Amino acid sequence: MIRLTREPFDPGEALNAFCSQRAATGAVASFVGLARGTGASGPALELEAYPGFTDREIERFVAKAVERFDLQDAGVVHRIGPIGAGEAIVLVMTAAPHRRAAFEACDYLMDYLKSRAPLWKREFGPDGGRWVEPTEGDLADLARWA
Amino acid sequence: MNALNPGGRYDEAAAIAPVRVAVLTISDTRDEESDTSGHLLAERVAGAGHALADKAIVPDDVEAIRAQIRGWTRSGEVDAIVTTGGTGLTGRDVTPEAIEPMFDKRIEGFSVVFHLVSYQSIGLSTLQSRALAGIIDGVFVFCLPGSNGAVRDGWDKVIAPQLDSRHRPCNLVEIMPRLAER
Repeated sequence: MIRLTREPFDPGEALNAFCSQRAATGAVASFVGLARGTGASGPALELEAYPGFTDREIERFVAKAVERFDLQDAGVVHRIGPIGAGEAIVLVMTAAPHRRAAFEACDYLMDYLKSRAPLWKREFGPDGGRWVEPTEGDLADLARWA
Repeated sequence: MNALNPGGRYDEAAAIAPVRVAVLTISDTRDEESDTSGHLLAERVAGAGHALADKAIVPDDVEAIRAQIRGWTRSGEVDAIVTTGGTGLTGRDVTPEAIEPMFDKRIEGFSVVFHLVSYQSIGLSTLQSRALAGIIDGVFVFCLPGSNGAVRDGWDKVIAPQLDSRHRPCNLVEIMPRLAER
């Protein structure tokens, strides 16, 4: 399940829905990324997507994670548009028979979403907005899975 | 005119003359599922009304890059090539080293304009890329960095308008028949 949303979402509600009806699942791992505030007013950051393309690309990568880690299910909820400080940007959920696969797949999916997913991020600071590229640290995180 | 606004316009009455574009991802780590910037380019090429002639992924290896590029430039089935990746400054980044010696002509302005556009997006970080372009066997070859941001800046703001036959006052498509003349 991949959902891109312009509206704030409740990670707890989405996670509860993901955990229900799972008699065969032993482990669900989840990660929530929040927009860190800078103290400035207005949105902390803005994410742009190509509608119809971005969700398909994420879907394709989630399918890769399901195969690689033998997951029973995986879900991603991602905010796009302007996001306020403290709001959830992204929720990743993975379901597997045992915890190791669920944890690792969650980590793997986050590294992809941070560095390679077709989302364009603009951060707002005291001197206006600036587009942000993945950092060396983000790329090194992603390279762990090669 | 704003120094960073290129001006130009599109002749809306005309139909676009489709160009056959091949997309090459240059990366040691990406495969078909994770090749987002390659997919992004393929999507933009088709969305602009062009034909996606081919798409491939090669590792950051000089000989592998050259073999793929030469295969396309000599196929007679490709008018332009756009590559993504391998333009950075690390030891593994060898796209310019592979492709620059192949150029019959280098398009100096492409690097300049790419950096102008990219500077507006990401500031001085643009110094860490070596985007370049030139002509090989009468085929345009554009080399963009591997990030989605660079692909968007490079394709949407620089390559797409210049590969559009409706763009005025000039575009690269109208001179294509003369690239290989002697």
